[in-house]
Amino acid sequence: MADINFTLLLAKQFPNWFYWVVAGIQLLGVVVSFAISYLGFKAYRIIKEAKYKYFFYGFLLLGLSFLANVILNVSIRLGYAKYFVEKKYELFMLPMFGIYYVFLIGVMLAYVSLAAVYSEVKKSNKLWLFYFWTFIVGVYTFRDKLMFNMFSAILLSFIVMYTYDKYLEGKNKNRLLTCLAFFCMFLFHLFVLLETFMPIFFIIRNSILLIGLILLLTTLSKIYGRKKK
Amino acid sequence: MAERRSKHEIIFDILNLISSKSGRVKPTHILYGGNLSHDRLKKYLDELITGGFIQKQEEKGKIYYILTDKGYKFIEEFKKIEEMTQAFGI
Repeated sequence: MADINFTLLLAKQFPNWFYWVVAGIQLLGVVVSFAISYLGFKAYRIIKEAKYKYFFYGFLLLGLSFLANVILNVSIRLGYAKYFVEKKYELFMLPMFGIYYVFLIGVMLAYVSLAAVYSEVKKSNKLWLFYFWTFIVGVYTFRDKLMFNMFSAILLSFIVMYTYDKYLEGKNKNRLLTCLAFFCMFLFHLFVLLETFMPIFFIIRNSILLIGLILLLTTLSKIYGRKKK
Repeated sequence: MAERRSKHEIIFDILNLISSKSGRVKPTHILYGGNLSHDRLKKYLDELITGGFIQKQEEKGKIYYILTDKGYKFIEEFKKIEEMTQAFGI
Protein backbone atom coordinates (compact mmCIF):
# COMPACT_ATOMS: atom_id res chain seq x y z
CA MET A 1 0.00 0.00 0.00
CA ALA A 2 1.18 3.45 -0.82
CA ASP A 3 1.46 5.97 1.93
CA ILE A 4 2.01 9.65 2.15
CA ASN A 5 5.50 10.81 2.85
CA PHE A 6 5.02 14.09 4.64
CA THR A 7 8.70 14.97 4.80
CA LEU A 8 9.19 14.46 1.10
CA LEU A 9 6.03 16.29 0.21
CA LEU A 10 7.13 19.30 2.21
CA ALA A 11 10.68 19.19 0.96
CA LYS A 12 9.43 18.78 -2.65
CA GLN A 13 12.36 16.55 -3.53
CA PHE A 14 10.76 15.25 -6.68
CA PRO A 15 9.03 17.00 -9.54
CA ASN A 16 5.32 17.67 -9.07
CA TRP A 17 4.28 15.27 -11.85
CA PHE A 18 5.85 12.37 -9.99
CA TYR A 19 3.30 12.69 -7.20
CA TRP A 20 0.53 12.53 -9.78
CA VAL A 21 2.11 9.32 -11.04
CA VAL A 22 2.02 7.97 -7.47
CA ALA A 23 -1.67 8.91 -7.26
CA GLY A 24 -2.14 7.04 -10.56
CA ILE A 25 -0.47 3.93 -9.09
CA GLN A 26 -2.82 4.12 -6.11
CA LEU A 27 -5.79 4.47 -8.44
CA LEU A 28 -4.67 1.27 -10.16
CA GLY A 29 -4.61 -0.26 -6.66
CA VAL A 30 -8.24 0.79 -6.15
CA VAL A 31 -9.34 -0.85 -9.42
CA VAL A 32 -7.37 -4.08 -8.88
CA SER A 33 -8.39 -4.47 -5.22
CA PHE A 34 -12.08 -3.83 -5.86
CA ALA A 35 -12.10 -6.20 -8.85
CA ILE A 36 -10.55 -8.99 -6.75
CA SER A 37 -12.88 -8.28 -3.82
CA TYR A 38 -15.84 -8.51 -6.21
CA LEU A 39 -14.70 -12.00 -7.20
CA GLY A 40 -14.41 -12.88 -3.51
CA PHE A 41 -17.91 -11.52 -2.89
CA LYS A 42 -19.35 -13.61 -5.74
CA ALA A 43 -17.58 -16.69 -4.40
CA TYR A 44 -18.92 -16.09 -0.89
CA ARG A 45 -22.44 -15.47 -2.19
CA ILE A 46 -22.41 -18.85 -3.92
CA ILE A 47 -20.28 -21.03 -1.66
CA LYS A 48 -20.74 -19.37 1.78
CA GLU A 49 -17.34 -20.42 3.08
CA ALA A 50 -15.57 -18.23 5.62
CA LYS A 51 -12.35 -18.09 3.59
CA TYR A 52 -14.15 -16.31 0.74
CA LYS A 53 -15.69 -13.87 3.21
CA TYR A 54 -12.30 -12.88 4.62
CA PHE A 55 -10.83 -12.75 1.12
CA PHE A 56 -13.61 -10.38 0.10
CA TYR A 57 -13.14 -8.25 3.26
CA GLY A 58 -9.37 -8.18 2.74
CA PHE A 59 -9.39 -6.81 -0.77
CA LEU A 60 -12.35 -4.53 -0.08
CA LEU A 61 -10.45 -2.90 2.80
CA LEU A 62 -7.33 -2.70 0.66
CA GLY A 63 -9.32 -1.00 -2.10
CA LEU A 64 -10.85 1.47 0.37
CA SER A 65 -7.39 2.25 1.73
CA PHE A 66 -6.03 2.89 -1.74
CA LEU A 67 -9.03 5.12 -2.41
CA ALA A 68 -8.45 7.07 0.81
CA ASN A 69 -4.85 7.48 -0.26
CA VAL A 70 -5.79 8.78 -3.69
CA ILE A 71 -8.14 11.35 -2.12
CA LEU A 72 -5.44 12.48 0.31
CA ASN A 73 -2.71 12.67 -2.32
CA VAL A 74 -4.85 14.58 -4.79
CA SER A 75 -6.01 16.99 -2.04
CA ILE A 76 -2.43 17.61 -1.04
CA ARG A 77 -1.30 18.16 -4.63
CA LEU A 78 -4.15 20.58 -5.26
CA GLY A 79 -3.12 22.49 -2.16
CA TYR A 80 -6.24 21.77 -0.11
CA ALA A 81 -4.43 20.07 2.70
CA LYS A 82 -1.56 22.27 3.80
CA TYR A 83 -2.57 22.03 7.44
CA PHE A 84 -2.93 18.31 7.18
CA VAL A 85 0.57 17.84 5.75
CA GLU A 86 1.98 20.02 8.49
CA LYS A 87 -0.10 18.07 11.02
CA LYS A 88 -1.77 21.18 12.40
CA TYR A 89 -4.93 20.04 14.09
CA GLU A 90 -7.62 22.36 12.82
CA LEU A 91 -11.29 21.41 13.07
CA PHE A 92 -11.95 21.87 9.36
CA MET A 93 -9.22 19.34 8.62
CA LEU A 94 -11.10 16.65 10.53
CA PRO A 95 -12.36 14.82 7.39
CA MET A 96 -8.77 14.59 6.13
CA PHE A 97 -7.65 12.97 9.36
CA GLY A 98 -10.66 10.64 9.12
CA ILE A 99 -9.62 9.60 5.60
CA TYR A 100 -6.06 9.11 6.79
CA TYR A 101 -7.36 6.78 9.52
CA VAL A 102 -9.37 4.84 6.94
CA PHE A 103 -6.13 4.37 5.05
CA LEU A 104 -3.98 3.33 8.05
CA ILE A 105 -6.48 1.03 9.72
CA GLY A 106 -7.88 -0.25 6.44
CA VAL A 107 -4.47 -1.47 5.25
CA MET A 108 -3.71 -3.32 8.46
CA LEU A 109 -7.16 -4.90 8.80
CA ALA A 110 -6.92 -5.95 5.14
CA TYR A 111 -3.66 -7.78 5.82
CA VAL A 112 -5.14 -9.45 8.92
CA SER A 113 -8.10 -10.64 6.82
CA LEU A 114 -5.83 -12.04 4.11
CA ALA A 115 -3.56 -13.67 6.70
CA ALA A 116 -6.72 -15.29 8.13
CA VAL A 117 -7.61 -16.67 4.69
CA TYR A 118 -4.20 -18.24 4.21
CA SER A 119 -3.77 -19.49 7.77
CA GLU A 120 -7.21 -21.14 7.43
CA VAL A 121 -8.62 -19.65 10.62
CA LYS A 122 -11.84 -21.45 11.38
CA LYS A 123 -13.06 -19.71 14.54
CA SER A 124 -14.03 -16.13 13.80
CA ASN A 125 -14.34 -15.18 17.49
CA LYS A 126 -10.56 -15.54 17.80
CA LEU A 127 -10.03 -13.55 14.65
CA TRP A 128 -11.98 -10.60 16.03
CA LEU A 129 -9.34 -10.34 18.73
CA PHE A 130 -6.70 -9.89 16.02
CA TYR A 131 -8.90 -7.31 14.33
CA PHE A 132 -9.30 -5.47 17.62
CA TRP A 133 -5.58 -5.31 18.40
CA THR A 134 -4.75 -4.36 14.83
CA PHE A 135 -7.28 -1.57 15.07
CA ILE A 136 -5.58 -0.31 18.24
CA VAL A 137 -2.16 -0.46 16.59
CA GLY A 138 -3.65 1.27 13.54
CA VAL A 139 -4.92 4.13 15.68
CA TYR A 140 -1.56 4.46 17.37
CA THR A 141 0.44 4.49 14.12
CA PHE A 142 -1.11 7.82 13.15
CA ARG A 143 1.98 9.68 14.27
CA ASP A 144 4.51 7.02 13.40
CA LYS A 145 4.87 6.14 9.75
CA LEU A 146 7.71 3.73 10.45
CA MET A 147 5.64 1.72 12.92
CA PHE A 148 2.74 1.54 10.47
CA ASN A 149 4.97 0.22 7.70
CA MET A 150 6.81 -2.23 9.92
CA PHE A 151 3.60 -3.67 11.33
CA SER A 152 2.20 -3.97 7.81
CA ALA A 153 5.42 -5.68 6.65
CA ILE A 154 5.16 -8.18 9.53
CA LEU A 155 1.58 -9.06 8.58
CA LEU A 156 2.52 -9.31 4.91
CA SER A 157 5.49 -11.56 5.65
CA PHE A 158 3.02 -14.23 6.83
CA ILE A 159 0.93 -13.82 3.68
CA VAL A 160 4.05 -14.09 1.50
CA MET A 161 5.15 -17.27 3.29
CA TYR A 162 1.69 -18.85 3.02
CA THR A 163 1.30 -17.98 -0.65
CA TYR A 164 4.78 -19.35 -1.35
CA ASP A 165 3.81 -22.62 0.37
CA LYS A 166 0.65 -22.71 -1.74
CA TYR A 167 2.75 -22.18 -4.85
CA LEU A 168 5.04 -25.08 -3.90
CA GLU A 169 1.96 -27.28 -3.34
CA GLY A 170 0.46 -26.65 -6.77
CA LYS A 171 3.32 -25.19 -8.87
CA ASN A 172 0.65 -23.03 -10.48
CA LYS A 173 1.95 -20.02 -12.45
CA ASN A 174 -0.85 -17.78 -11.20
CA ARG A 175 -0.03 -18.69 -7.61
CA LEU A 176 3.57 -17.61 -8.24
CA LEU A 177 2.31 -14.28 -9.57
CA THR A 178 0.14 -13.84 -6.47
CA CYS A 179 3.04 -14.69 -4.17
CA LEU A 180 5.34 -12.24 -6.00
CA ALA A 181 2.65 -9.54 -5.87
CA PHE A 182 2.43 -9.86 -2.08
CA PHE A 183 6.24 -9.93 -1.91
CA CYS A 184 6.33 -6.62 -3.79
CA MET A 185 3.89 -5.14 -1.27
CA PHE A 186 6.05 -6.50 1.54
CA LEU A 187 9.15 -4.81 0.06
CA PHE A 188 7.16 -1.64 -0.40
CA HIS A 189 6.53 -1.44 3.34
CA LEU A 190 9.99 -2.67 4.32
CA PHE A 191 11.89 -0.17 2.20
CA VAL A 192 10.45 2.70 4.18
CA LEU A 193 13.43 2.11 6.47
CA LEU A 194 15.83 2.90 3.64
CA GLU A 195 13.76 5.82 2.46
CA THR A 196 14.57 7.60 5.73
CA PHE A 197 18.24 7.71 4.69
CA MET A 198 17.89 7.72 0.91
CA PRO A 199 14.88 9.61 -0.47
CA ILE A 200 15.32 7.85 -3.84
CA PHE A 201 13.70 4.85 -2.18
CA PHE A 202 10.41 6.74 -2.34
CA ILE A 203 10.58 6.20 -6.12
CA ILE A 204 11.87 2.62 -5.79
CA ARG A 205 9.11 1.68 -3.35
CA ASN A 206 6.38 3.06 -5.56
CA SER A 207 7.89 1.32 -8.59
CA ILE A 208 7.86 -1.97 -6.66
CA LEU A 209 4.23 -1.37 -5.68
CA LEU A 210 3.39 -0.78 -9.35
CA ILE A 211 5.04 -4.11 -10.29
CA GLY A 212 3.02 -5.86 -7.55
CA LEU A 213 -0.23 -4.37 -8.81
CA ILE A 214 0.58 -5.32 -12.41
CA LEU A 215 1.19 -8.90 -11.25
CA LEU A 216 -2.21 -8.95 -9.54
CA LEU A 217 -3.77 -7.42 -12.64
CA THR A 218 -2.21 -10.18 -14.77
CA THR A 219 -3.73 -12.86 -12.51
CA LEU A 220 -7.05 -11.06 -12.60
CA SER A 221 -7.06 -10.75 -16.39
CA LYS A 222 -6.41 -14.49 -16.65
CA ILE A 223 -9.45 -15.19 -14.47
CA TYR A 224 -11.76 -12.72 -16.22
CA GLY A 225 -10.33 -13.44 -19.65
CA ARG A 226 -10.89 -17.19 -19.44
CA LYS A 227 -12.54 -18.36 -22.65
CA LYS A 228 -16.03 -19.81 -22.37
CA LYS A 229 -16.17 -23.43 -23.45
CA MET B 1 -7.96 -41.34 -1.26
CA ALA B 2 -9.94 -38.80 -3.25
CA GLU B 3 -11.31 -35.79 -1.34
CA ARG B 4 -15.05 -35.65 -0.69
CA ARG B 5 -16.80 -33.26 -3.00
CA SER B 6 -18.58 -30.31 -1.48
CA LYS B 7 -22.27 -29.68 -2.20
CA HIS B 8 -21.38 -26.94 -4.67
CA GLU B 9 -18.88 -29.13 -6.45
CA ILE B 10 -21.55 -31.84 -6.86
CA ILE B 11 -24.01 -29.27 -8.20
CA PHE B 12 -21.34 -27.95 -10.58
CA ASP B 13 -20.51 -31.50 -11.74
CA ILE B 14 -24.20 -32.22 -12.45
CA LEU B 15 -24.72 -28.97 -14.33
CA ASN B 16 -21.46 -29.34 -16.22
CA LEU B 17 -22.46 -32.86 -17.20
CA ILE B 18 -25.76 -31.63 -18.61
CA SER B 19 -23.94 -28.80 -20.39
CA SER B 20 -21.49 -31.26 -22.00
CA LYS B 21 -24.48 -33.19 -23.45
CA SER B 22 -25.78 -30.10 -25.28
CA GLY B 23 -27.78 -28.99 -22.25
CA ARG B 24 -30.30 -31.85 -22.41
CA VAL B 25 -29.83 -35.20 -20.73
CA LYS B 26 -31.63 -38.28 -19.40
CA PRO B 27 -31.54 -38.95 -15.64
CA THR B 28 -29.57 -42.19 -16.14
CA HIS B 29 -26.72 -40.24 -17.73
CA ILE B 30 -26.54 -37.99 -14.71
CA LEU B 31 -26.68 -40.99 -12.38
CA TYR B 32 -23.67 -42.65 -14.03
CA GLY B 33 -21.73 -39.49 -14.75
CA GLY B 34 -22.48 -37.76 -11.46
CA ASN B 35 -21.19 -40.65 -9.36
CA LEU B 36 -24.07 -40.39 -6.89
CA SER B 37 -26.61 -42.74 -5.35
CA HIS B 38 -30.16 -42.58 -6.73
CA ASP B 39 -31.56 -40.96 -3.58
CA ARG B 40 -28.89 -38.29 -3.39
CA LEU B 41 -29.19 -37.55 -7.07
CA LYS B 42 -32.96 -37.09 -6.76
CA LYS B 43 -32.42 -34.69 -3.87
CA TYR B 44 -29.94 -32.62 -5.87
CA LEU B 45 -32.10 -32.59 -9.00
CA ASP B 46 -35.13 -31.41 -7.01
CA GLU B 47 -33.01 -28.68 -5.49
CA LEU B 48 -31.72 -27.60 -8.91
CA ILE B 49 -35.24 -27.50 -10.36
CA THR B 50 -36.47 -25.41 -7.41
CA GLY B 51 -33.49 -23.06 -7.84
CA GLY B 52 -34.25 -22.66 -11.56
CA PHE B 53 -30.94 -24.13 -12.74
CA ILE B 54 -32.57 -26.97 -14.67
CA GLN B 55 -36.01 -27.88 -16.01
CA LYS B 56 -37.70 -31.25 -16.16
CA GLN B 57 -39.23 -32.16 -19.52
CA GLU B 58 -41.21 -35.17 -20.58
CA GLU B 59 -41.08 -36.32 -24.20
CA LYS B 60 -42.60 -39.53 -25.54
CA GLY B 61 -42.78 -40.96 -22.04
CA LYS B 62 -39.09 -40.22 -21.36
CA ILE B 63 -37.79 -37.71 -18.85
CA TYR B 64 -35.10 -35.19 -19.77
CA TYR B 65 -33.35 -32.53 -17.73
CA ILE B 66 -32.61 -29.27 -19.52
CA LEU B 67 -30.08 -26.70 -18.44
CA THR B 68 -31.53 -23.19 -18.07
CA ASP B 69 -29.75 -19.85 -18.65
CA LYS B 70 -29.34 -19.59 -14.89
CA GLY B 71 -27.65 -23.00 -14.96
CA TYR B 72 -25.24 -21.95 -17.70
CA LYS B 73 -24.47 -18.76 -15.78
CA PHE B 74 -23.78 -20.74 -12.62
CA ILE B 75 -21.29 -22.95 -14.50
CA GLU B 76 -19.41 -19.90 -15.78
CA GLU B 77 -19.38 -18.21 -12.36
CA PHE B 78 -18.26 -21.39 -10.64
CA LYS B 79 -15.41 -21.86 -13.13
CA LYS B 80 -14.27 -18.30 -12.40
CA ILE B 81 -14.39 -18.97 -8.67
CA GLU B 82 -12.41 -22.18 -9.11
CA GLU B 83 -9.85 -20.29 -11.16
CA MET B 84 -9.63 -17.60 -8.49
CA THR B 85 -9.29 -20.21 -5.74
CA GLN B 86 -6.47 -21.85 -7.70
CA ALA B 87 -4.72 -18.58 -8.59
CA PHE B 88 -4.75 -17.20 -5.05
CA GLY B 89 -4.21 -20.58 -3.43
CA ILE B 90 -7.10 -20.12 -1.02
